[in-house]
Amino acid sequence: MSDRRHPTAADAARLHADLAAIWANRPGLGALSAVNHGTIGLRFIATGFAFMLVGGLLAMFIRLQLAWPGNTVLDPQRYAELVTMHGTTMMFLFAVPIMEGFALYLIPKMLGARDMPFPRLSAYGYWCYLFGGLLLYASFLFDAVPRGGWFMYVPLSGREFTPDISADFWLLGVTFAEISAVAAAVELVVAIMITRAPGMAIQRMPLFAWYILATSLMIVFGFPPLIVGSILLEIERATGMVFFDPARGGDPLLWQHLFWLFGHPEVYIVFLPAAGVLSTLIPTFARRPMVGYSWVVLAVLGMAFLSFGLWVHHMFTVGIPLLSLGFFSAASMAVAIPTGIQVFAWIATLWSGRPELRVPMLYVLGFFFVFVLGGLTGVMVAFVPFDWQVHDSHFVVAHLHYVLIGGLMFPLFAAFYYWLPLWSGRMSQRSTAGAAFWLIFIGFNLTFLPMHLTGMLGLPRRVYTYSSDLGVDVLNMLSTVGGFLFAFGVGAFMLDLLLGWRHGVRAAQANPWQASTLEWSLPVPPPNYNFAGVPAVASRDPLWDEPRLPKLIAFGERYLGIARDGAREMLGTSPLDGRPEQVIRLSNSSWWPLAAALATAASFIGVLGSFYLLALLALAVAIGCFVGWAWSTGDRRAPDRLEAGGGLRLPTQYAAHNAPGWWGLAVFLCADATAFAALLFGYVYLWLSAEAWPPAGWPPPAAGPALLFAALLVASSAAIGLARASLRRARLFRRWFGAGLGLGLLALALAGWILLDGLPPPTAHAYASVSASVLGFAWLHVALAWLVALFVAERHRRGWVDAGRPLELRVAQVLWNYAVVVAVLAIALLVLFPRVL
Amino acid sequence: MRPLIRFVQHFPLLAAVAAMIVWAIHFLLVYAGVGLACARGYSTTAVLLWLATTTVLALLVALAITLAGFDRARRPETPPHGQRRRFLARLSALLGGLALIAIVLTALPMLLVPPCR
Amino acid sequence: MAPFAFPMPLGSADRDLRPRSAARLVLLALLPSGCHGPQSMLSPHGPQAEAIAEAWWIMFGAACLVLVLVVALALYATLQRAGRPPPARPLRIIVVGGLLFPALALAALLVYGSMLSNRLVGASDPGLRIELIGHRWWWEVRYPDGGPPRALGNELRIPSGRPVLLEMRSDDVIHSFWVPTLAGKLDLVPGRTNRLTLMADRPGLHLGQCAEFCGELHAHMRIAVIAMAPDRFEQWRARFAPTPVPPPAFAHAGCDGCHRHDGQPVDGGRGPDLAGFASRRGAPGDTDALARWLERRHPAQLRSRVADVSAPSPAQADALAEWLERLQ
Repeated sequence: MSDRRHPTAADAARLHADLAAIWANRPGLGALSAVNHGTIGLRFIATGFAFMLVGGLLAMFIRLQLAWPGNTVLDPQRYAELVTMHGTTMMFLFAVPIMEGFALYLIPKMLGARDMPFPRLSAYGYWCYLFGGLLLYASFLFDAVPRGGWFMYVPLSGREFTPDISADFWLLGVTFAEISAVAAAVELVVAIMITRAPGMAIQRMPLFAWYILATSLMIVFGFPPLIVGSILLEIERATGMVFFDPARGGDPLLWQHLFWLFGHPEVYIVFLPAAGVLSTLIPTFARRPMVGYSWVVLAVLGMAFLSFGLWVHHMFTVGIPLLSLGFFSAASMAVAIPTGIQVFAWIATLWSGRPELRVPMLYVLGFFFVFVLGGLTGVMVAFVPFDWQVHDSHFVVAHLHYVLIGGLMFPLFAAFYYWLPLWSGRMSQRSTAGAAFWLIFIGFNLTFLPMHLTGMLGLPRRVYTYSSDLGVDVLNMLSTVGGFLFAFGVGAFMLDLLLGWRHGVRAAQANPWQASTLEWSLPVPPPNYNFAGVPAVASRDPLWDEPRLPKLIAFGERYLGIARDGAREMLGTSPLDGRPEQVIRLSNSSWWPLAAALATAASFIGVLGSFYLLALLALAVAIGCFVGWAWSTGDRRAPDRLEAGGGLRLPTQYAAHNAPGWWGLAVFLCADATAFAALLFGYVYLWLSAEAWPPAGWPPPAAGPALLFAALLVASSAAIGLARASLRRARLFRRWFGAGLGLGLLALALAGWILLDGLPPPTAHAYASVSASVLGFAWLHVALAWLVALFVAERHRRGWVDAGRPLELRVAQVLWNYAVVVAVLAIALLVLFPRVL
Repeated sequence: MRPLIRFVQHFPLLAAVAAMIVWAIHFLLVYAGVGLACARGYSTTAVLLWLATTTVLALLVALAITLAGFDRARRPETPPHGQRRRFLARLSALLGGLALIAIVLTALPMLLVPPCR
Repeated sequence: MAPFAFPMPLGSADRDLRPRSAARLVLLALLPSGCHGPQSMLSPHGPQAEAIAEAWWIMFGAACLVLVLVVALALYATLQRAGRPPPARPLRIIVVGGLLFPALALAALLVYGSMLSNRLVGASDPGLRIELIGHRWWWEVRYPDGGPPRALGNELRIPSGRPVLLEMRSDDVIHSFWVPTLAGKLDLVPGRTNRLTLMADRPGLHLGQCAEFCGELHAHMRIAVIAMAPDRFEQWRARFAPTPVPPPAFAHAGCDGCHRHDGQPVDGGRGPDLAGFASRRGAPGDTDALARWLERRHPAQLRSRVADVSAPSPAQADALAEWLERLQ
């Protein structure tokens, strides 16, 4: 630093202009090719908000129908459709995506990064989400609206009781949207681990990043069970294979387990980012750092773990041994402890600070009442005998709305007010904002507080009408009136926000709340590249402790204050201590994500309409898009090392150890391994409820071919390993790599033979279906690894991969070994399990 | 194996949350044990033995992790990574405490409810 | 509007809300009357429901206390006046409020819940076994023991004062049997048999409803549980009076495609057995209303499910209603 001339204002202006040109989205329709995290984050937020309005509209119809007994606004079928779509929209199309939108928008800005590490993946995730949501709503056009309730219990959603394609709309639409959630989660984990500002060691991360890290990991481990469950149900509906039908060895409770394995963590996946918002706002308005940073991190990680031990508390009434219920009751109560720590950490922070009652703080106070009430009824339903009474009644409806609206919407509204000046430079008027808040607060409580009693008086959930003799007429009318007040409140909030955005008071300075996190060091509105110069950070509250920071950033000092090669560059740092390690060169705007998402959508539509040829064709196109996408990464001409500012020369990611691609693969494989585990759980679960395994008359798969299969795969893995070791000698590399590919191909063929020869026809019995699925899962993974390896072989031949830039080979090798492990485990299970147990 | 080890090395957070992983494994083992025993009609003694063994083991391991965390958290912060080490040690100890409470809570029903009722 | 299953007005004689103990009397006097109802878990008439209602009131009191405390603290912390000294050791707030208090309170609650659930499930050895089968959207009740085989539709008769064992299964999708005044709910899951011990303190009529969404007419899947004095129950069980011969409209309108009326358990039933139809209404109802319901609503509701149903003419409906009212 010292030997360098400090940039002048003119230098800074030139740097900004150059960076702005490099990072600009394309004009006009070209904006659809945007991949920048700011643009994508705002798209997520806007789309999520729009879906919330639609979901809220459905809720108004529901409340209208229930206003008095015997109302006929909706007929029973339409009511079931709207209830299903309301729940599905709010959970899958609003709550998760909008918080991911906030995370995508804010995390790089808070961490001192210029973008997310996989910008095209962000864009692909967004398109998957949008198309998934549109696909779901397209069901209205075909009068095949999903109507099985948002948790789609079988057998009601099976082919026998839902013969039309309404359930398929749900399964495919939701799975599509979930791909997006997993993609964003993988990316957020990688961003938080390796793209923090230099010096931002793990103990100095802004708290919001801890929440998002925990949430993203929860998505990584929580969503795959539902994806597996949805795919199994879709297969059962489409092909007649069987997983859930008890007549042929299936079990309807397997669906419930898979659904709630996702479903309970989901509640915390929704709550944690919102809690992260609160942990950002409260220290700002209390004018002091959070009391007990380690305790808050403890609470976040504790909730993330414990929330995976709650899923059966949605199944207390299905007839499971009492002791098992006890375990889940215990975990449900245990999770209240980190929640309590969290709440009291906020209180302690407010108490020991000097709180200012600004507009966002209104929602924070509203949150305390609503969320604590929801948490307390949550403890009640964790009490097993009480749950036997109120489960699936309106009491639970009240409880879940207290938790979700309290835990998500109040913090979300606070977040809109809080970050409005960052994005628009203007602030909302306090008087109108207050009116909107009170409408929302009173309307919400009027809707859902009486509903507790409605449920205890005997009204089950999802009934389209009720009889007067229950004595719930007045309560229901109250709820309806409250619901409409609530809706007016949301309308007033939107109006206020809009006015604030367009005509609000100009914020006196760039950091109007005097906050401590890095996003407030940016100009308004933040440029696409965020930081002209990537700052170095030495504390948890950088803007409080180093007031000069915004100026340093604006002048492009410290790191990467360079615009070169027309390339978007960001800094990669070490996961623990935030030591600069690499320069990550990112993709510019690209059409590949949109093309890939469109092709994916086409293949989903093909499955939906049973146009299987179309589905296969579209899948081929999608794979082509992914290959094109992958091929256009990398830069053959880029030097191995780049000037990174601060006197540092750093490798690009292709030569770096902690490359984003490697991390992305590792996190993705965690999700994939969870999916595999969910499938194995299904196998064991069906075995447990079966009388004979395999069913009488079928021998278990033969051991000989299975052993050969495993041996081929292990040998192929060894060959790929030898190829990697001989990367410096091209001919030897090619020979070993080719051997690995050949062995892999043999194994793939052999697996097909085992499937046909060793198992009963897959539609005969759940044993055959689930065994074929396990083998099919393994086969797909080996096939995928094989394709990726082929891709890398070609890249090597053309000189993109060499000993100095081994990243792609490393990725291919990890994937290969993983696929081999999966396949060997799968075949061992199929062969050994029926023999040993 | 190497990627796995490297993953753990690059993710000392895994070490910090070790006690919660112990809780998760214990939870899974006792739940699966009861489910299996009740579906297959194993003897009550065997189930109780299984529950007792896994619980005692889990408690011991979680306790060891917690104490080790406390011990490391009390050591002086030595540069270059002292601050970070102490933070992760404290986190490990706190999560250890939470895991201990959670395991004790899981064990309570075992004392009060007979298996397979 | 009349629901799918014709509404069941409650005979006033069947409802006895008088509390038995002085403590309960005091408790009930303090409650707003809005908590009571024919399907309210807060008007318990059996030992299970009573124990759960008691647990509810305990939890309710504790929850109110905690809520007021936390919200008051949050308000106090936020709306403080300038110059008030901050807490000396703020971390202590977290440890006491967030860790110690919840851990102890929740451990106590967990012990209470485990003991209670164990007591409720392990209730005294049930004498009578009854089969309950869930159909879309009606309940089939069968009495295999203690007399000639017998079947009822949407009606469950039990002796009061002693526990009965319900063996529950489903014929199609998942249903859930919930009679809040007697006990918590239990699901009817295809492919398994779940067992619920049910007991009513005194003779009386209790209403229940399916609690697991089972499709379009889920809201109408209700059941009347009639608790009878044990001697009257034995009488009813032994007596087997043939039902009056139905009017010709029963066949003409296609009623016999789904409904039987002889109280015989037969597999593959498509609709509830009508034997005893009038008795589950508690008191004589409005025959004319019943006729109009048979004429209009019922066929409309069936049309989505049953192809061969035709609406009865007004005269036929009158005859059918008059006949139904005699099915004691």
